[in-house]
Order: sequence, then C-alpha cells, then structure tokens
Amino acid sequence: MSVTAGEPRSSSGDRTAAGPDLDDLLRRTAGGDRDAFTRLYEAVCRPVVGLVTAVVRDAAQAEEVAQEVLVEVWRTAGRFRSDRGSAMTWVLTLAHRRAVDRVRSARAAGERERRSAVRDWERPYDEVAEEVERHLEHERVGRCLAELSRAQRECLVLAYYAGLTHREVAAALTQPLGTVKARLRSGLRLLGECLGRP
Amino acid sequence: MAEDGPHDAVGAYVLDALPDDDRRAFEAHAAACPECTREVAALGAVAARLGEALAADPPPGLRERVLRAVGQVAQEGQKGQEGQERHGAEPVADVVVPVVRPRRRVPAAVLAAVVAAVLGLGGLAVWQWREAADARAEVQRAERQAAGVADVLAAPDVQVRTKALAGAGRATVAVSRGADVAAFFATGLPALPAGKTYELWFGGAGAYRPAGLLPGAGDRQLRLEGPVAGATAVCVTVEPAGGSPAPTGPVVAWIGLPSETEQPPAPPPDPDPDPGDFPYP
Repeated sequence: MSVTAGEPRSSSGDRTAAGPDLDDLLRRTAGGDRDAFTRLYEAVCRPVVGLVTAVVRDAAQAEEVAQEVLVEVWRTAGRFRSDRGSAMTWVLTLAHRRAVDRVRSARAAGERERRSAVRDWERPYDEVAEEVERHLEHERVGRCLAELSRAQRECLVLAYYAGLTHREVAAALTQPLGTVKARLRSGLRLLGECLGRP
Repeated sequence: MAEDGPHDAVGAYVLDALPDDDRRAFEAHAAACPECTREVAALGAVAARLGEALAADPPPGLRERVLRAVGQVAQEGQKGQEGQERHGAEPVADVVVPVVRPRRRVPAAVLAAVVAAVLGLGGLAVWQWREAADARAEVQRAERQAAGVADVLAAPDVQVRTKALAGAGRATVAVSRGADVAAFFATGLPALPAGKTYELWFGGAGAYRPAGLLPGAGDRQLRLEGPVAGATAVCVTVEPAGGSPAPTGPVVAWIGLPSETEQPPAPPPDPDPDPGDFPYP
C-alpha cells in the first residue's frame, strides 16, 4: 500500500486535548450562556457546514439548513446528555438528520411530479465519493473508509453522505435490502474499530 | 441476532437511512432492548465521525445570523422536555459510549493525501485490481515494451487511476511518485481515421508536456516518456500522425494523478464541438 497519509503530522493546525471541552460548552449553552454557545459555534460550524453541504448539495439550501441546525443547537441544548455521547456527536447527529430531512422532502416534492423520471438518488457512487472527498478534512476517517470493502463503503457513503434510505441504497446498487442493512451495520462497526485503533 | 430481525436495522437507523415507518418500528424495538440502545450509541458515534471528517468554510454572515437568532430564540425548558433526538432522549438508561479518540484538525495541504488514501490503492475497486493484474499479464506477453511498464507496476508505491474514455473503452494510469515514472493502459481504444494517432500528455501547472504516442486501437499500453514530477494529470488527445508539440485534437481521456498538492490544470482547448460526456473536472 502506497498511501502515506497515515503518518502523524505533529505540526500546524492540530487541535489537541487543549481544545475547548465541547461537552462543557454545550452544558453551559443549555443553561443560557451565550458566550459558551459562541465558542461552541466556533468549534462545530465547519463540520456542520461541511456535512450539511455534502448531503444537501445546493449551496443556498445548505446554508439555510446549517443555520437552522446551529440555532436548534442553542434551542435544544438542554436535551444533551453527556453520558450518551459527545457533544460533537450530538450536534452532528442533529445536523445529519436535518440535512436528510431536507433532501427527502425536496425529493418527495419532485418525485410526485416525475415518478418515472431519473431520480436524483441514482447519482453514481463515484460522484458522491468525489464530492465527499472535496470536503474531507480528516485523514484517519479517509483511511479507515478505504479499509472497508468497496461494497461496505458504497453502502455507507450512499446512505450517510447522499442521504439515501436503505431501500434506495439497495435499489441503486441492485442488492437485496437485507444485504444492504448488514453492510451498513458491519461497515460502521469496522469503521469504529479502525477509528479506535491507536 | 436473527436475520432480518428489527435489530438488523441498527446501522441504517444511526445513518438516518430508515424511512419513517421503519424508523418507528426500530425505535419501538429498541425501547425494550438495552443491547440495541448500546449499539445505537456506539455506531451513532461512528456515524458522527463520518460527518466530522467533513469541513467547509461557513458562508459569510452565517456566524452573525446565528448569533443574532440566538439572541431572539428562546431555549426549550430545561425539564420535562420530551426529547425527539435519539442521541439525547433514548428511553434506556445509562448507556456507556465508547470514548472517541481526540481528533486533529488536518491542514488543507493534507487533503491530497486523503484523497489518495480513499481513491488510491486502498480504495481501489476490485475491477481496478483486476485491470492491474491483467496489465501485468499483458506485460509478460509484450516483452520488449514490457520492461518499462513492468517497472512502473512493480514500484512499491504504484497507484492506479482509471477513467472511462469519452467514446468507448477505459484508460488507466499507473504512477509511481517515488520512481517518478508512469504507464498508461487502455482497453477498447476506438480505432482512429488514417493519419491520426493518440498522443499522451503530462499536465501540470497549466502546461502540457508530450508523454508519448500511442498509434493503433484496442488494448494498448505505453510507458510514458519523461518524468512525472510536476504533473497532476495525464491527458489523451487525438493528433495528426507523428504527434504535436502541444495538444490540438479532441480530448479522449483526462486522468487526474494521485497526490502532489497542486490543482489539476485546466484541460487544453478542445476543438471538438461535441466532446460527449467527457469528464472534465
């Protein structure tokens, strides 16, 4: 394997353990602390914008969704429970859900008019992957995605980054639904193992 | 876990890939299944890493609009609020979420390496592997030229890129940045009119260097001439027999090379008014 991306890079731009404790900022946000929210915003806005943009694709709509998400973080911060996951996970779970909601409602509106037309979820995997790579800023996630089988990676990328339902993934890849479900689950599990390796 | 049981949907669930009816069914199942809830939390953290890996500069004004909105939007009450988000309001208590390792923000310059990691050998589709293997077999048959091509394929850091040709067939470039060599393989190369040849180019920094002529059609291979250094793409055009000093003819393939940090150059001018679905970047 020729890839050299895995070497640790100690210089420039690393945000290490010295970074803000996001869980704490989110807890303080829940208590109405606007300064804490501002600092939280600084820490999460780039991934929120990147994720929402990758899923929604349309820049104007993505901007709208990102703004809604960030305000919703403020509004619903009281729901965060640090024993159930990190603040970043909480924020990005919310961002992904909202981005997918937007994509699906847009698709449903369009599809009523053109049921038999070519559907936008038939976007080829490679196109989605290219778009994701344009925004991918995390070498370890890229490397761990590359460690999955192509079949697992396709399912994960189409479900998460293209916002398809598992049935749409199955249709797009002409695979049985059960196979897609199994790949989504095993793909995430392997990805988690890879991400957790030192 | 039973095949096709509700639990199988846990991956799809955390990826927001369940339609509403399936999602409700899964949530009803998970409410009575601590094991499921644990897996939702664990896989949900992994899914979020897929999101966190992306990053983009916020559009101008977003920060101001959000902070202004925050000054006007009331927060939900802190108690008695029925949460809707799976992360914040799971019905099952005390889920221990695995600690996610601290993350490092990667400078933009590393992007190219990430792309190489995903698209490079690690991300190669099986058929690309096969194509490389086929190429190796081909090499053994065509000995004279093979030496050069085999060097490239045998390089420890060889990486492969494949693109569909504008008309028919497929083009593959194998490149070793370490050895500074590259080879080109085409399958199903369409036949050209008399007096025409395919010509290959290294593209980089807006300029194109000739990298060799490839007359003929069908399955062809060529060790590219000259160093790869500085090139970000290999381009194939149709030129008059004997070749041209700079691309003049229709572009039939444009294949971005792995790694190096600069952007691919703009494709050369294409006099063909109908380039078809040629994949310009």
